[in-house]
Amino acid sequence: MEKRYIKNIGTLTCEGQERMFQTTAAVVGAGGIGGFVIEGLARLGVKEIVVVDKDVFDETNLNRQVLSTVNNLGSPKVIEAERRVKEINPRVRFQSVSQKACLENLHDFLGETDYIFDATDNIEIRKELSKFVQDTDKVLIHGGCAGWYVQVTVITKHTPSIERLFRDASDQGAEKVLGNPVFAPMLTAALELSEFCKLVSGKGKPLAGKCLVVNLLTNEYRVFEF
Amino acid sequence: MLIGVEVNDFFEKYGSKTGKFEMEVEPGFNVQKLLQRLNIPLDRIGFVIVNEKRVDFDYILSEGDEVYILPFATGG
Repeated sequence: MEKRYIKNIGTLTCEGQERMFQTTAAVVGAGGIGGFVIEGLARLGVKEIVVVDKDVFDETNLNRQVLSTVNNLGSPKVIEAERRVKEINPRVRFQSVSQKACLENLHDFLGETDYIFDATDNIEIRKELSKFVQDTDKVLIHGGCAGWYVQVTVITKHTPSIERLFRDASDQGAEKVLGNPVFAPMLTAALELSEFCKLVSGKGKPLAGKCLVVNLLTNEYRVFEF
Repeated sequence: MLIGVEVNDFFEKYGSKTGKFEMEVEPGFNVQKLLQRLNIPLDRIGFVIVNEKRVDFDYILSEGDEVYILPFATGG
């Protein structure tokens, strides 16, 4: 085992780390949550990261998006993501997709992935990602954040779809009012990455069909079925 | 009949009752009526959880139900 992975071992087994080396993960959205997820995947040592995002960084991203700096405003997020991954772990392959994800194009760039991280910011694309993973037997790790609040779940073909989670709701998340300070996407990404490690290593109880909600104001973590 | 209710602090800004409390409601009382009584705007609701399961607005509450009301967190 290379020295760079030694501190993963104990939480991950050597076999789990070996499986990580063979795993391809996609991150849809390279903003707040996505930036931290991409950083985490590079350090975990996955085989390949596919990043989907068509946006460029702007000044409003600087409060929370770890890949944004005052020097790269205006630069495509996927380009900055690739630069960061190569700085952290050059062995990890990187595929950038500078497109807006929709059901029609998901097969084109997510067909070879094992796990898909939802790091988007709207419910419609989440529904399309959920349909895609259920049709193709992949795993979607959903996360969202709003100020003091975080939610995370795992969707597979064996769980209810994300539509069962959101149902008829309008796109009215609390983030419209609360915004998102840096700790919100940071925590969401951490929870998504720990779900990923549980799934890859076969440890613990993944949040399949269950949603974890966090309220940082009251220090509460709760899980419910949907 | 008596139910337990907990409303996430987010709804304070809409003048809703928040925190953890018990409520006396009549038989046949559903979630939508509960939200209206608590002054929680329906279009700001994310999840209504009863006994650790997601329910719809037409869910009829039962004696001893534990209800938790919170917004979606859907930003990225």
